[in-house]
Amino acid sequence: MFKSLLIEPDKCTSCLQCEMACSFEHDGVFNPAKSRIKVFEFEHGKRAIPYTCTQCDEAWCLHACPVDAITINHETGAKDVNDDLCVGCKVCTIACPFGTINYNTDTGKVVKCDLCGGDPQCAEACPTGAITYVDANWTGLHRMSESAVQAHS
Amino acid sequence: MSWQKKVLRVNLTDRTSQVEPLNMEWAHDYIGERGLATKYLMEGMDPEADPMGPDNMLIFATGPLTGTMASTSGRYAVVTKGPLTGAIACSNSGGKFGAELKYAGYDLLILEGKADAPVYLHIVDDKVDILSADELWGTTVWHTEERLKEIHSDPQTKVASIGVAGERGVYYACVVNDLHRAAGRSGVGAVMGSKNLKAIAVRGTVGVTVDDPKTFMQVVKETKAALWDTDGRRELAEQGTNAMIDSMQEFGGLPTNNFQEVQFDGTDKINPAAMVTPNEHGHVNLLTNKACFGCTIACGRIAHIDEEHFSIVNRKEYWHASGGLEYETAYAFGPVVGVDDIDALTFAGYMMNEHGMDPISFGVTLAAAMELYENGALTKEQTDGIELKFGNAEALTVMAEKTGKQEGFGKELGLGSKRLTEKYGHPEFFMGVKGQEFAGYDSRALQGMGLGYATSNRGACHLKHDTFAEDMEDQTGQGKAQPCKDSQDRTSVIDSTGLCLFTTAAWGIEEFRVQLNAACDYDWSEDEITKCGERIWNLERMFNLKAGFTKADDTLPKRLLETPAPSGTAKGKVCQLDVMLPEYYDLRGWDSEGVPTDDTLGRLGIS
Amino acid sequence: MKIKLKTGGLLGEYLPPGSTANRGELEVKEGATPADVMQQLGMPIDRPYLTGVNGELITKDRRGSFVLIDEDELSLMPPLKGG
Repeated sequence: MFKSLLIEPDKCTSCLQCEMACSFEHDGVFNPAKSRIKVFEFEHGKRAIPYTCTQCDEAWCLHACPVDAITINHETGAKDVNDDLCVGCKVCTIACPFGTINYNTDTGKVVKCDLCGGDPQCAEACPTGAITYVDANWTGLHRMSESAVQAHS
Repeated sequence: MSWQKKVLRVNLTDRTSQVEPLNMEWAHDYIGERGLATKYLMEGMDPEADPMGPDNMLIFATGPLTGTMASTSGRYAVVTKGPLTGAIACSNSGGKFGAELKYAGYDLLILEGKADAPVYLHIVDDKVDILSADELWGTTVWHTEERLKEIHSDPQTKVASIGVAGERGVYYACVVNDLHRAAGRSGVGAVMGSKNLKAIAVRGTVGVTVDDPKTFMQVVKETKAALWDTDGRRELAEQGTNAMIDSMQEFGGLPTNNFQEVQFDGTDKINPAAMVTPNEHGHVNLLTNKACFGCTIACGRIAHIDEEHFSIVNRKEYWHASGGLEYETAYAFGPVVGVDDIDALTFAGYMMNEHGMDPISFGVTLAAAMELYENGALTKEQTDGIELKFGNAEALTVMAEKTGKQEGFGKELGLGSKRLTEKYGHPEFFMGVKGQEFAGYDSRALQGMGLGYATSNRGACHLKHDTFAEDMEDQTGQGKAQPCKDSQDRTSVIDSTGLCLFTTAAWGIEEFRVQLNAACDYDWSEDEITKCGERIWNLERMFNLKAGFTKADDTLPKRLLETPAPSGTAKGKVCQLDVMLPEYYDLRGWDSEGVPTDDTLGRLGIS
Repeated sequence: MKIKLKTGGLLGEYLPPGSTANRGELEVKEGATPADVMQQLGMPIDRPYLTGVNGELITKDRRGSFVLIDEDELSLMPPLKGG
């Protein structure tokens, strides 16, 4: 069973612990500048929304890559970048309509969310539960249950 | 290694900058942020210098834990000589700016001299530019932040800036970062303005490492869980600090009408319940809560003003959200000026953030002006036709804006209440210590708070000590000196780590020590860390003594020492400072004039 | 006898059903103390709350001994702390 990150922006307080956890996990340093998940604020801070790769099926990044450096991880379902093959051409960053794969000028490779290989650290770090790791087939389940209560109470 | 071990020193006169290694001996003795910046200040400037002159040193200081995953790691301090007080100023802020400065690779940013024209500082890692701020000078904080992100085509830029208030030397002008967080007190924004420094824009991509990542993440996880599980944390997240207003009313210590009263009958209109109850237009004040960088608590408020309220009814530019009421803003715009209109209070808060002013000092200054007005020392002609009467919501909103823009009577209010009341012949209406206005606690009800106010190194301040538990149980001056001294030392440590004071809802000094030890390539013993706190406090004291302060300044206004509280649980009481102060000096190892003895200085390693 | 309740902070969560956000009422036995009332409401009795009766401060040591009478107003506030 694949799992997926579930983002519930109403719970996000913009603390950015997810960004620190991500960079720490991948690079051993607290550095939001290198995080693959980013929190965006809107309306003068009224809304805060974490966002990252949704591991889409279309996988534009994967198909655009001229050296097949992006492959599907069979354990997590994530589309992972193989640094040994990546040449830093950035075609994938153009192909992805969501902007969630980006180039890292320090390494010369592209980076994206890889679900930390199945134990996403952003979800672990988030104090309010704005980011959780749930059954990928049922990301709407919690909302469905809240709607059920509202519809029939 | 937690510390970046680099100091960025900028000379604004010459428009040059250099990077120097952090003095690690000082870092071990003073930790970071507040303590370390104080040491650099003591060693780098003359405490008698004019706070608004080029010889005043201005330091933006992060702590070793700033930018790490320790909970609440967004804190930084602005340390300088304060124009409001003439004493050391150490103003603390959160938001995202401090972490970004640390990520750029610096522990401290030291600013010296004065630019000959308005400038701003642009830092991207090791690239440091001093650029013309001509197009920004005269504009608001909010405009400045937006514009700097545009100019540098980088929405991830973090900005600390001043508004017109800071440019024109309002004595309590502050530095605002990330739109609605601030290094609020003592006029640190006016110091920036006096140097012609409009803003600091920073982008950091270097990151922060820790010495022992495995242990560090383990203690972070444990301390975070402990913090999450306390009622104190949940109350802060759900209600913000304004939950205090009902307690203070109950405790008979809610300063009202410039401390003439200690109880206010309008609390139900401005307390946390009022912030979430729809008004007659169906408008709800509070929108959501917000965290600073790295914070597990999220005490910040995001609110909006009723669009039909007189303050913004024809001003669409203020129909957006911004920072909402915390306890100190609720007190300073509410009871102390007698106003209970929640939208007026919220608008005044917007003015503080947009124009860069300390809400506490502004509110108490307005309260002093109201007392002057009601006593006939000010007339309507002088106050731009506005009746400065206690309870007048329009006086609050209009004067908040005028002071921010330095128009009309706002120029008088910009003096702060000490200079204002002296100018208009009633110095006894000044409610503060060493020139700085009181926070929302009347020390006839909270006695230990009175000692804390009188002895805080930066003037009246409620954050530098913690005798709340003792004050709740005993409304006398007995037994307050020891907890005051101990908590002052403890807070000196906390303010030097890069983490937030509000973690004390769950943590004692040990939680800070274990996180520091895991993160830094240095270990402090329990004794050592306590001693650091005492050392920092005494060094600040030495700065002030050299700046000309004496025992005579460790006092409170006559109103608190001689006029009994008129009502409430402390009715009939005055503040027993005379009981507390001698014992305090003694515990501190100071002589009867309040001067640290040679023994004390020697023991702490202060020359 | 009836005791009027006033709360602040999150303590309104302990008020009996039918109360408003921060005001409520409770039927208690004769001779009840603030500690008895807190226990009846399900509040831990030795946390550092601020307790008052009709505007009089009741320090922690008196919670278990101060005797309430009919129509007394008991206020229960979160402890004072920095902000």
